Amino acid sequence: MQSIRGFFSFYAFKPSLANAGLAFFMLLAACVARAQAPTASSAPLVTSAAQAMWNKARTQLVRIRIVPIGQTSQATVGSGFFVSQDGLLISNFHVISLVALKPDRYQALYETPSGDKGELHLLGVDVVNDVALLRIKPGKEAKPTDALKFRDSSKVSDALQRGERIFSLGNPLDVGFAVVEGTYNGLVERSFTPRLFFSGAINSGMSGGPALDAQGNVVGINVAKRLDGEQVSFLVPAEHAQKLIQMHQASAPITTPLYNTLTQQLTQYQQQLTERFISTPWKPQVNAGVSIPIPSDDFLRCWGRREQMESKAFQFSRTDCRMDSSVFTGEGNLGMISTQHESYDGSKLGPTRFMDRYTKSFENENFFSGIRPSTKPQCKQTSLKNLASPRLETVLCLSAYKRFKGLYSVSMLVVTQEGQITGTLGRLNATGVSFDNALKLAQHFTDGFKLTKVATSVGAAKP
Amino acid sequence: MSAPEAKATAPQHTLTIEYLDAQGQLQRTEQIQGAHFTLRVQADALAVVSLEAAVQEANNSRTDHMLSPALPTKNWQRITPRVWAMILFGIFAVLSALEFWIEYNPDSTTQNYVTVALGVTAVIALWAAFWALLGKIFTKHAYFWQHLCIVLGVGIVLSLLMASMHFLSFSLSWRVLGQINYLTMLTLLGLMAWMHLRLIVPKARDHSLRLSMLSFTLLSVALLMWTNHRRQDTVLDTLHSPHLYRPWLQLSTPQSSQAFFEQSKSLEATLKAKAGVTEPGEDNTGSQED
Repeated sequence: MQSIRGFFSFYAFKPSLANAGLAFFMLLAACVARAQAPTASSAPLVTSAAQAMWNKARTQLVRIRIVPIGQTSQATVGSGFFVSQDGLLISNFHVISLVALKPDRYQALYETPSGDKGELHLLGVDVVNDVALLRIKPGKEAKPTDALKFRDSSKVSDALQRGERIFSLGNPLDVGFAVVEGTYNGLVERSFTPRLFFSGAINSGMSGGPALDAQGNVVGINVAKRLDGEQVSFLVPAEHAQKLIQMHQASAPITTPLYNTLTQQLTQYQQQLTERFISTPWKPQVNAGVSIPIPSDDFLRCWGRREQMESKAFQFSRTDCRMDSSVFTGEGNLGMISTQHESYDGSKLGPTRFMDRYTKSFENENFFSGIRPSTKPQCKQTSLKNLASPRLETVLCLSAYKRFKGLYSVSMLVVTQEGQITGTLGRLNATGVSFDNALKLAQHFTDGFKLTKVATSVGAAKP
Repeated sequence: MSAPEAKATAPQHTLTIEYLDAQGQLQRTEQIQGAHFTLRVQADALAVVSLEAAVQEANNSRTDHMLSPALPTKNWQRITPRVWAMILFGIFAVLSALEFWIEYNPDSTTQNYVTVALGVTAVIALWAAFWALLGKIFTKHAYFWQHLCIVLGVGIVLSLLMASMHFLSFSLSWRVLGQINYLTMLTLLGLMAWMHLRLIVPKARDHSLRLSMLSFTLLSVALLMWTNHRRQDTVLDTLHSPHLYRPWLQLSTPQSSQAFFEQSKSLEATLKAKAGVTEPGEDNTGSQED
């Protein structure tokens, strides 16, 4: 106390210009701090709504751990929620994919916030929409569970509105259960499978957890987020979980690998994907008198750039288009179509040097599938010329997946030969398509290269 | 006149060979009887004639009464290995300059060309010197210029052969020719190694050397093909032939896309068969039913 008193007395009894200045700045700082104080106190705290949401859903939430049989260490961890009183629960397929594909090696365990634990049985999956249905293994430890209700979105008036508040629950990074508040921002554009755009922070470990509306009804399931953005997260619409419950609530537990089921679902998916891709008209882009098949922006997202390669003498423009969505299978992502185009201008190089660079670009292409196990690529190369197209040097390569029987990855490489100092290298890649659809996609892509005069007239006639 | 009669009438001579050591001391002497002798020293064959016969031959040559018994030496045979090396180096330099010109961009400086030219020259010279050193160690003869001729000759053949193969693969759509670069290079390297070794290994072992090098080359090529097959299911080096030239140089007839994709349906059976094979390191989990 004495020292404090001494401190104040020092300033009280030794007046000077310096002390007056110091006192002025202290006063100013105090004013600034006072001005900032209301801002700090107005920072968003956990709202009563979020608190109420936690209280409402805490008994329906679970942490799901996938553990190698005979071990205690987890291989993956995620979240889930009860949807019936007899222990049915929903999670993501990607959370339990190890159990679905290797049930002899992995088992699924659950743990509630109150500490109840037990084993889970897998009843059914929807690999395309990334949903899985599980049930608590019957036994002495199994207790009746509280269940979350789904929002009835059948009425237009009950449909989710853009900006509506949503609460996402789960077990982020396995550090403990959490409630994340955010808003619904409509469906994700360019996603072939419907996804809800949720502006909230979903993290690893929250996958499979519920997203609730303000009334505590399930509107979606946490599934993914963009790693290159902030609070750009995605939810699976709740109706996919409801469909899965209807289909599999009475099913027997799965004890053998689900490859055939996954293949059936992927086969249906790729059929829709192929039909839609082929029916979507190309977006015209012309290089040196040749119309290049660039996919429409409302299906694939395209990025373009123009660069100089090696020196100012050799210029090229590049367009990369790829789908924003794909299907996680547990052994790689399938159901993806992408295209790449490189248009070269070697007018400053001359024909001989240009052809050398063009050859190197053509040479520098890889045809191996990233999905294992699959066959090594089988390729066919030929020189093509349709009535409306320039002469094309083409390479078609296909690989077959060994576990998803009847599904293939395809790469179609096309090099135009319309001139001596210009050319375009185009490539289409598709994963998880049937053989017939692989050829259809490749032919559709190849036939998209047209001479400009013909392209104009043909393009006008296309839907 | 029959051969035995000629042999009987031919004058007989005695050839004396004296073996000297490094200090010039006579170690042993060997005498051989016969009408004609040929002394072989490494790659050079020296005809040995008696002094009397040489004088007679000279007289005959002057009067043109009869043909010389020795075959006349052609002009190109009189060119020394050093001159051959210079000629080959000139050709090699022209080819290399063309390749560098294509490789480099118009904005490349002379320094780029000089650096690469000096680098290539140094590598070739070192390569020839390496073999010359081996020759000096094992046979006391370096044959540097001969080794230089070999490496330059193989380099020229390789450049021309590759260019021809690439062009034909494009022009006539013989695509296999554009997919065997490494196999061709390996074969030519085997040939080059054999030619170098011929100058080092004694003539008496020429047959076994040829056999060894042929086996080695075949084994190397087979190994490369096997590696290719393991890697990409084809013995060829690449999955496609990427060589492109000016469009008007393509002489083959193109297909319609309809015909091409119709033909491509044959791939399905191959892929299905291969998909059913479990390779080492893969488990067959997927083959189980749900």
